[in-house]
Amino acid sequence: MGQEADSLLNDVKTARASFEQEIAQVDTPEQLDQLRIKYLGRKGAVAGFFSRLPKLDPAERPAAGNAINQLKQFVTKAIEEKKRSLGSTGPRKPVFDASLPGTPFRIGSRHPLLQVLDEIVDIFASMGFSVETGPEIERDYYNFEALNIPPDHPSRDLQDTFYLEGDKLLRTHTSPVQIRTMEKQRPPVRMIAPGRCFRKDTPDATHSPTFHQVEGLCVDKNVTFADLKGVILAFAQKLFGKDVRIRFRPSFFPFTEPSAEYDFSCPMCGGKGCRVCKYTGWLEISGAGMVDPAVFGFVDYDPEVYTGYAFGMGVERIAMLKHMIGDIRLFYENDIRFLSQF
Amino acid sequence: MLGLEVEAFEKISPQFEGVVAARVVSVKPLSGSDHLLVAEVDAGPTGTFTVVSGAPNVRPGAVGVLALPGAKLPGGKEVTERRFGDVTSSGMLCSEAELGLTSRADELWLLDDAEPGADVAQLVGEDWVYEIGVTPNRPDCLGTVGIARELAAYYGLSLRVPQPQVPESQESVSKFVAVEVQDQENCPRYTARYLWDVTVRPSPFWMARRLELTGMRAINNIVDVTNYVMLELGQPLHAFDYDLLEGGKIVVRKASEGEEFVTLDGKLHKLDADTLMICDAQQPVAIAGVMGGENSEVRPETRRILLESAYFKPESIRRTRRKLAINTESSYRFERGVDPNGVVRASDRAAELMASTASAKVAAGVIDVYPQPHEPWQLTLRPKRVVQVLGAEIPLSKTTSILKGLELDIESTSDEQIAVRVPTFRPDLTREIDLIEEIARHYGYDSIEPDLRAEIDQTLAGRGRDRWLDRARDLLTAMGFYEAVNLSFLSTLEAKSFTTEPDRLVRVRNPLGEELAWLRPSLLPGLLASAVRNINRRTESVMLFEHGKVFSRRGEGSYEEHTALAGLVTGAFALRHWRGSPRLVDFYDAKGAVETLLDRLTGEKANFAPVELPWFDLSFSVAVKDRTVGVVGQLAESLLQKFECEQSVFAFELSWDDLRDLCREERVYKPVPRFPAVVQDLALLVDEQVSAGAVEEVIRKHGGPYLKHVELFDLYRGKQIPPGKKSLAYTLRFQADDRTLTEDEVREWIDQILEALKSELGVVLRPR
Ligand SMILES: [Zn+2]
Repeated sequence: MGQEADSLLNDVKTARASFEQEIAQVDTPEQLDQLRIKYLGRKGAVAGFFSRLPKLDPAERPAAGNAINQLKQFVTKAIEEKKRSLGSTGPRKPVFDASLPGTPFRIGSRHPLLQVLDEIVDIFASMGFSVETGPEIERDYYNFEALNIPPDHPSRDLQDTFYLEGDKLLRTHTSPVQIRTMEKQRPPVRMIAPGRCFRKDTPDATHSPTFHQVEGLCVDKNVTFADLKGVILAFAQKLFGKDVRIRFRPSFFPFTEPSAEYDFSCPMCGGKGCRVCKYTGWLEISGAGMVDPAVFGFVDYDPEVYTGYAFGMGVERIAMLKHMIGDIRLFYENDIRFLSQF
Repeated sequence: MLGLEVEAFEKISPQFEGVVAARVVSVKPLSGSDHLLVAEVDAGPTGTFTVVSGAPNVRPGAVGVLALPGAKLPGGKEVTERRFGDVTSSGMLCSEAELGLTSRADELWLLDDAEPGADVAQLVGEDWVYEIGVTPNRPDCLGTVGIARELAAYYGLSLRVPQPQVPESQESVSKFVAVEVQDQENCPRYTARYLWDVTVRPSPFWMARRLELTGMRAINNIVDVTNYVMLELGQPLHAFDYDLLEGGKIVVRKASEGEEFVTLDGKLHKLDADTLMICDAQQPVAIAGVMGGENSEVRPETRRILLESAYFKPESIRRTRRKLAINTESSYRFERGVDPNGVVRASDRAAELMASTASAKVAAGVIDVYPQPHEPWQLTLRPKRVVQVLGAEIPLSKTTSILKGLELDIESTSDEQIAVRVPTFRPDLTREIDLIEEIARHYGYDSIEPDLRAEIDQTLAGRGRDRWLDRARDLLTAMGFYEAVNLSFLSTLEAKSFTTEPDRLVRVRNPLGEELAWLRPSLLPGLLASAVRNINRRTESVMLFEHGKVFSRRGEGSYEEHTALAGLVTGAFALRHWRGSPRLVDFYDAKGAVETLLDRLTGEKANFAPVELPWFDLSFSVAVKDRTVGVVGQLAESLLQKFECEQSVFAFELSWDDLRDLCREERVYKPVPRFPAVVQDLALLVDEQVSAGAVEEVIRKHGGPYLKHVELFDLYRGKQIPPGKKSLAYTLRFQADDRTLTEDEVREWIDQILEALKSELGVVLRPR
């Protein structure tokens, strides 16, 4: 036997002995992994032994190769076993606890009131209404007179108004935007006016001196009360689901005739009656009607040719119904414990 | 369903039991008492009882109401036997108030025609009270007859209205009363009746009970009759004590400027020359249509009455009512418009009731000053127009029957048009559209089918919501801000603390209170108040933003408003987590939010320049493309103290109107780099006086065309850094679009940068 072969077999034997010693010391997966690399890795002991084979006499190679393979099998098996035993007794390192809370990403949210406003606007935009805006400080003319509410008219009592200097006031509804739009545009007109309004109401659970409204207007040839009911029905069903029914009751507004209050069947109880609808099965939403010919007079539309409908709605009220919120003031407090729920 | 909203509906039942009718058989004084009486009463089959009473109207023969021992009275009171000296009172005789029926407590309730022993609860029976909301256009429904007319028309019933029978005597009214109307413009009709031998006493139970159930107070038979007729017919009436009227004369005229007058509620009013007054031969006795005077009020000793029934011009009453701030049932009806042709009927009805309840004698006839009688007016209705407005085919016969039910006279009918005459009690019906509304109301809004097929003209649906504002809101919420909505009103302290031009603040003329007297010149005070509210409720980390209108005054009656977008941060930067407490927010968080927002909206880098504003301790104007769009900074310590905020607050406020113009509408794709970048870090030793911005500017200026990115990744002061210096460490990224740069190429640019830093700013590489 050549010297080379002798030395190789000896080294294999020594390696096996030192491996046995070393593996006995191992008690973490990391250490085991290092040991595996030391013996079985690409530059490890076993690979080193194989690389010495070509230097041997060809006749001696099979025996030497066999010895190296036995070492390799032995090491592999021992590492497998050790790995299993490590797994069962457990490491001494802290246990990874996946149940600890994950990182709380800080994100905000849109205000619930404006989420509802956006939803209403999007529903009407999808039905072909364009979105118009107007000033919050309005002239008496647009807020009252052109809407057929002359000075000294009793219905001015219905709306307690905040006044500024001169003929300026804080708009009590977004209806002035109707007039402004009709002034600059000939029929057909199909628009909504979302926005902030103001009424001199002392804040309580259902009143706020600042509130939001969406007002709608459609003027064209052959626009009827039946169309108004159609558009309100479509809106109700898009907002609260297709089972919602609508109800129109006669009312009075100076700028519409006929005038109506409209209600939605209560989506909470399906109209059977519950706490939300005060056991009536209906939710009062707001007012609507056919545009009064007198209003057309102010914008120079011919009421014999054109007819139109208008409707309004209070965003706070709808948001309160949608989210079962009992106090309007919550919208204006901006308590993050409230805002973060939406 | 008719537009008469039932706001409340209550069934009223007597709240007592064990009370029977009892005839007083005899009365004698209770020995040892100066006012109590002992009465023997006969309660028919129930028996005979001895009761003690202190009421003045106990007299033999009268039928009173007896609460027997064990009877239950309202409020849970139970009647027991009581001893008065040696007399045992077996129950008590009751007043209406004791039975909870009216407020009248002075006298015993005497029944006119009850059988002794009859159960009084049964005699009273049940009643129903409806509270109905009447819209301002329907004065005719401010009386029960008007409501009944609507219901009769709706249900197709016939209406029965009181037909007054006045027992007039021979004496003519003109012998006693003269009326002179000086202001016919504001008093188109005035009528007066004369009654005498009047006995003023409590009105009958049925009338008092009905008045009080409707919320009025029973006073005496004369006043009660005027109120009762008003509730029935909607026509306010006024009764004067004739003996208090000088000269038996009524003059209707305007007050003189500054004239003083005491109304019957005892209040003194200063009048102006626009106030319509009812006067006698010498002085005013009533503010027309609003309230009578103390000087002519009906009193218990009144024997003669002048009864007024009139039609005043609604506008005049309304002006007076507003100026004097007196709201009465009377002014409420006059200012909405009573029926000028219903004036006499109301007077007749009242005279009839006064004759029966006050045994009054009524003079023959009515003084009626009505120089220009109002006539029912003609209107025409085109059935085709009904369809055009309502979108429903309503049969002609249905249309005419609705109009008839509402007491409109139909003069002619054809398929083209229906001509009607409108009765004067319907001042709201002046146009064809008003008739169409009547048709719709009575046909039923619910009978008109919704039409869902309306065509949509797609060319109209141009504008949706402001999508850039949407984007800004999305960005801010993604950064952790909650959207806030604050009131538009501020207190004086809030408003004045956030403006540099206090004379341009907008004040509300009639604010809800000093706390809400100003329109916001900035969104920051509202956000700060919201933050403080959260902090006080133990949410110390607050990130809020808001968008909305802010206001300023340009001159007398002239204002400006524009949309602002503002945000605020305070407290910890991140949410608490078990891996360690987060740092507190600082100026750079507010600045970073603005930088991110402006970068994403405009694609431009924002520039910051120092600016002084009283509500900031440290603040910078924000500009994009040389256009100033807002400010960012740290709110002033002194200001926070005023608003009781104990933690630092950083905030920004941008003009959305300006920013909106800069939002990048078109985005053109830039190729993603295909060749690898050469990255080089530079640690620089910089004088404290030299700003990071200046350093970065020099680096960019001298970095050559391939320098694509400069990023400050470390700022260090301390060990190994000489005093007065700081270390800034930058990562520089060089990249070419068409090839891989060589180390040597980059080295040249780096040398150039270092040379410039040294010569321009004295900045050198930090020694290793
Ligand atoms: Zn319900």
